[in-house]
Amino acid sequence: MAMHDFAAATARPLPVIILADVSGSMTVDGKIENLNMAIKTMIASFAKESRLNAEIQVALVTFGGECASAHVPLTPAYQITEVQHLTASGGTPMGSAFEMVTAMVEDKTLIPSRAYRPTIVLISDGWPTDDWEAPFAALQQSERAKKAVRMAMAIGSDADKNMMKAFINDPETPVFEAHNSQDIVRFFRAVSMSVSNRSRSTTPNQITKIDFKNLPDDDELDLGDF
Amino acid sequence: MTMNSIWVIFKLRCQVHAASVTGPRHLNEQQVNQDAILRRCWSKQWLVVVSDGMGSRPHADIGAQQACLAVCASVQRSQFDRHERELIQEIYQNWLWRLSQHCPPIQPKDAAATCLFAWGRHTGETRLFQLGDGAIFYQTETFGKLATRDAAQFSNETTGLGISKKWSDWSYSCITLCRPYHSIALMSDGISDDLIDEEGFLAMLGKRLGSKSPRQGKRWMQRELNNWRTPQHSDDKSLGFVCWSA
Repeated sequence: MAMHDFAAATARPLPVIILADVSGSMTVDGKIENLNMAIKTMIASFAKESRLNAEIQVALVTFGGECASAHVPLTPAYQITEVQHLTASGGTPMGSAFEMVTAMVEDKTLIPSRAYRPTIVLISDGWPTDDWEAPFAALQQSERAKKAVRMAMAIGSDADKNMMKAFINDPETPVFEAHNSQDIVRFFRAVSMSVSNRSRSTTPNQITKIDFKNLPDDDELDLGDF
Repeated sequence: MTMNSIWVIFKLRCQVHAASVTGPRHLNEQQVNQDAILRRCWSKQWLVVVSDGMGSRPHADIGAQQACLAVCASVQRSQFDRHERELIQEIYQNWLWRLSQHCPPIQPKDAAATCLFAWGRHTGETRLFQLGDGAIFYQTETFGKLATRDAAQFSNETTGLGISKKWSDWSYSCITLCRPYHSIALMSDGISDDLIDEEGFLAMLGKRLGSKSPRQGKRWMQRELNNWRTPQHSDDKSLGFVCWSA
């Protein structure tokens, strides 16, 4: 026996948890199709990421109908070979999604202390239809979940932007507002860049502010900080 | 003193091993090791100090080195039973003084560093102190760990000299080493965050280091730490190990 036998065989995790609204209103204007495409592209970009100081792990929690469900449990991105297509229907049980994400982040067997601070991304196009205030307060007060980096994208003009603004825990980061299909893709590109930069960084817990106004378009090469 | 403890004192010997290696990140960036380690054995006492300079601070390496020296200086001036809070206050003041004497003087926040140390007598009584992340494990009649990191913390969230001024942020314990293979390991978070079996790790160190001289032990530890298994590990790594052997 040597030290080799007592060291973890996996890199320190960097968890990314997506809370995706799949309520009935997401069927309008091709929103759910764009969301499907953007999530798959993001996971694929994490899986291809090779310059890592951390192992990016992704969970996809969907909320539509009666309650939230773990569409993709927390899994290393490179192990996710297929994401089942999201379909939209029913109400917007966002409170149920908050309960689920709080439980995930608090679970030390799922996200150990050696993990870097998780990122939680909320995506919605409407107002919650369940009791969300108490679960949201629990998330904000939870010892571990309150330390997560929280980002939000409001799709269309009907989203509850005040609630989503309260969800974000960096006062300098605005709610990203998506007005068309390309905006959804751009938001996910920004999330991918932010997470990838953290995973390459020598200090993955340090968060860099996202400038939504100056996101690169499709034509721009990924040249790091240049 | 019982006959049994007299036997222990005369038949057992205390071995103290220590090693520190620069992590891959600092090697790639051609930076120095920002951990520091100190090992001292005197006629009736011994001391091991591990300090991890915080990577985001410009003088983290100096902060860690001075933390080791400050602990050593304060311990040498103190009676073994000195009150723990008084001792820590003197160590902290000594560390601040050392930074102020640097040319040019260094601001404490620019040299923030964790501070873990074990100070023992050759009779087996041992005092353990810790500020910031990393870990101190011990095997006496049972296995134990100095209570440290806030359970809600994630990796690389820590406190240290230059950040915290609170005595309540320190962990402290007193244990007694009195049988063969009773042992203590002190380590920076570059090691402790990746350990999967802490008790087994301590037992393995006892078996592998029990028969080695300090120089042989240091070489073995350096080789093992340089071949760390965890993918993408990047931190500097420091390990102190104390064990009683027949």
